[in-house]
Amino acid sequence: MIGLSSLPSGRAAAPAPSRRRRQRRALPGFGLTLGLSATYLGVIVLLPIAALLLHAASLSPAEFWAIVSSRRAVATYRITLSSAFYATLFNAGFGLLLAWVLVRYDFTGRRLLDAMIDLPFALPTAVAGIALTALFARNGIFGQWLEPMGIKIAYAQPGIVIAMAFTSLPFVVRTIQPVLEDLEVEIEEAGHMLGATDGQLFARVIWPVLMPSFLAGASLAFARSLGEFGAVVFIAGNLPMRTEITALLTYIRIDEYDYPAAAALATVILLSAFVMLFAVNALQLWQLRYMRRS
Amino acid sequence: MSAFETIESPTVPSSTRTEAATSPADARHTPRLVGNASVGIEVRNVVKHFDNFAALDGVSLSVAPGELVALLGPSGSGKTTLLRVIAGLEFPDSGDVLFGGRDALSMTARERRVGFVFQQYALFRHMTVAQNVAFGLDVRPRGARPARAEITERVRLLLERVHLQGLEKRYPQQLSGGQRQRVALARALAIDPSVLLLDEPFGALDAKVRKELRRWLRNLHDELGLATLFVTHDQEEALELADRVVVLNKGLIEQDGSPQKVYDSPATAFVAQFIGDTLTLPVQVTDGQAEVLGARFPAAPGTPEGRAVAYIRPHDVSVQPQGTANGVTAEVISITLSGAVLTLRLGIRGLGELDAIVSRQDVQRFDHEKGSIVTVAATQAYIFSD
Repeated sequence: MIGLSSLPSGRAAAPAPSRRRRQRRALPGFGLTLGLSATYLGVIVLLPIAALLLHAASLSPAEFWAIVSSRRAVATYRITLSSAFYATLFNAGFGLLLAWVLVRYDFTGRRLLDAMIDLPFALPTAVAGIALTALFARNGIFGQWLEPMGIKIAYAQPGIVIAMAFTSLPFVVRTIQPVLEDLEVEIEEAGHMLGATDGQLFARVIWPVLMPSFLAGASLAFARSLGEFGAVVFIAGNLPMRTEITALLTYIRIDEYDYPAAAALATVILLSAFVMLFAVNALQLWQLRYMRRS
Repeated sequence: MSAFETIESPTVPSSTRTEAATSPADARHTPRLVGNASVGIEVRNVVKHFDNFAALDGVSLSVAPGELVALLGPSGSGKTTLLRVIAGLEFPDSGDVLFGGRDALSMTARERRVGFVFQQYALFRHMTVAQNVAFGLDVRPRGARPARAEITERVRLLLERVHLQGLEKRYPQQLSGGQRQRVALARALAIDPSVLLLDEPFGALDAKVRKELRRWLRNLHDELGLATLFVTHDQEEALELADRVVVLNKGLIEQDGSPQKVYDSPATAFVAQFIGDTLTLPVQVTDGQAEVLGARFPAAPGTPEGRAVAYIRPHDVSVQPQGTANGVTAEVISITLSGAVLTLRLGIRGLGELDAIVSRQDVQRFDHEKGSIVTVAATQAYIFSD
């Protein structure tokens, strides 16, 4: 741009161009694509959240507190959080194992197994809930054996855990998988050459690299479990104080046209998800400190 | 860029190499760096197949304690496979690998105590430089593990040795290529290795850093006194750095000898063609000799009479004013200046084109413009059967 005015081109002869220089980019379309993305994000994500908070704000602080701290509401938090915790715990372990098997070993049916991981994403969650209920109900395939042994799954908390685990499984597998694939074989070979045992290699070399994506996957799975509704309502039995999740209580409030109360409960779910995502991101940032350049 | 700052001090001219090695400052650290008695490497008849492809087809070589040997070959020649077999990362189908006379194949990679530097360094990127170097000591079983303070001190000495002091707390991602390479070397040396193996040690570096590190590595090797084997596809690197060069092609050793021997008397057509840029000319062998550009040269022993191929290096083509010497008449097609030397592209009637590399002084006194006619002759040629 500097030398442009000295060129005897038609452009230079034109009336003095505005002083403001636009930064030139090699890749076109930045303004348009960013604008579209921001608009989309605003309409689809931020607006509903704002509406939710607005509804909740129509309550006085005392009313808000009364709703979110009622015995029934607190019971739903306990059930939702503990179920989501167990589901995530299960998925973290099992998802890590699945990702490991899918990346590390070559076997017939690997691609099929790989495709099956995404099934919970593709299936309507209500269908999953009904299918799981059919399996674990007293007359179901598993239920007919488990119930006589005193293990009650459908219409009890284990059912909620299983439904949550089913719908959130892909998160852990799909976040760990690419990182595991990127892990160079040489890194492990170097570890062996330096005298590390398999256990030391995993604990000191593989796990630290895997950890951030593992955390990310687990936190996504947890967040998803907190909000899971479709699959859970069919299998949970939905007894207040016993097997009622927060999302269901919110739904019940909406059904009763008590929008502010529903919004208040939803705000609690939203905040808990935010706090968790923030904590995990901070942890991840710390874990990945070695990626920063000096 | 920072690779240069720290490396300038160790790159002493080779004439003062021995002095530098025994200067008081160095002598203080050297004894503790490698405590193991150095052992030699012996490879006997190693065969390794991958599916139906013979990566190694019966390879034997030895590296004496304190010797620096280059394993030179094109990609796919099996050189990295051989290095990995010695390291214990691959197991041969047959043959023996011995370290100081002891069977290495019955030992796992962990037990062999081999210092191995990977081509891409394979540093642990989530660990600092100091943690990387300490790794080999940290993972030792409780009884064999040195005390914390001892590990710290040893890491400090090693980093000083590879001229990376002050970078202990950096992560690999924050280092230049040359620095990473030296971290990898320090990490390999930390376990007090009995032998040192390097896979394309300079492969991932740019030309300038590569040359400096080469000389530095030579010095370090001389001070450590380990049997060192390094893999390279760069013949210049092999010739400059190694005590002995082993040329590998298609899983077989083509030649095993000193750099001079390999360069001056290539044993096979492959070596003649692989070492240095080589021109090839068709020739006729009679009485064990062939005429190449006006002079007769002996053919390799066992070359049958009749058609053969002469390999000539561009440096071995002499260019003279027309008619002043024996040789063939050629026309200068183009001239390229590359520093102290000129590359002349010459056209010879009936033979085609060839390159000659001549010093500028040699051609100063006569006309060698584009289009001029000159006389060319070969001063050295290697003749092998077609």
